[in-house]
Amino acid sequence: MNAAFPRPVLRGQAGAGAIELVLAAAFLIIPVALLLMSLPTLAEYRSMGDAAAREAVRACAVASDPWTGQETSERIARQIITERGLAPEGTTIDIDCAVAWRPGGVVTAAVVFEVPAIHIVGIGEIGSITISRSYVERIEAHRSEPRR
Amino acid sequence: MAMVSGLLITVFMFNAILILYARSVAQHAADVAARSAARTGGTVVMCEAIASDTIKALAALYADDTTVQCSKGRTTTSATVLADLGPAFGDLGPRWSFSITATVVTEPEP
Repeated sequence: MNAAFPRPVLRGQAGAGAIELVLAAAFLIIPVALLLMSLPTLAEYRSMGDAAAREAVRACAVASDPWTGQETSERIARQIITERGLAPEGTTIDIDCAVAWRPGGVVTAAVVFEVPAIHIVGIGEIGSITISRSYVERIEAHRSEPRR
Repeated sequence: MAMVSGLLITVFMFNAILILYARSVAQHAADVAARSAARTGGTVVMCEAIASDTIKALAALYADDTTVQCSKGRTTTSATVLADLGPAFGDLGPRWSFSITATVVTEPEP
C-alpha cells in the first residue's frame, strides 16, 4: 500500500448484508407492508357506505308512507354505520324519501362520512379522508300495500 | 441469516394478507346471507346455511374458525359472522378475533 493512500478503517463488505436487511426492514419493507395492509380497510369502509345507502333507499321503497320511510331509512343507515365500527355523529345521511316517495318515484340516498386514511390494526390511525357513497332506486309503480 | 429473515417476513405478510382476505369473505358472506333471508320466504336457517356455504367456497381454510348467527325481524334481517382466525402458515403472526354484521331491510309481507 502506498503511503500516500492509507488503507481505510472500514474495508470489505463483510456484514453489510445484515445491516442492509435491518435498515430495509425498518424503513422500507415493514412500513410499505403496513400501508398495503391498510388498503382493504378503506375498501371495507366504501362497502359499508354502499350498504348504508342501499338499505336506506330500500327501507324507503318498502315503507307504508313517506314519513315512516324517511325515519326508518335514516335509522337503518345509522345502524349499519354504527355496527361496522364508525361513530354515527360524523356521518351525514341525505335521503329524499319524504318528497320522492310515491309509486314510480325515484329515491336517492347519499351517505358521507370521514374515515382514517391509514388504519393499521393494533397500532393506530393516521389522517382522515371523506368517503361519499350514494344509491338510487325506483319505487315499484304497482305494488301491494305493506301489511301494517 | 438474511435469507431466513426475508422468508420469515414474507410468510408473516402472507399470513396477514390471508386473514384480511378472510375478513372480506366474512363480510361478503354476511351480506349475501342477510339479503337472502330478508326476502319473503327467507328464514334464519337459510341465512346461516348460505353464509357458511359462502365462507366454505371462498375461504375453506378458515371455515372451521367462523360461526354464523342470523336473526330476522319485522323490519330488519341481520347476519353476524364471528371469526377467530390464526396464521395459515406456521405460527408466524397473531390470532385475530372479530365479528362482522350485515343488516338489511326485511321485505314486508304483501
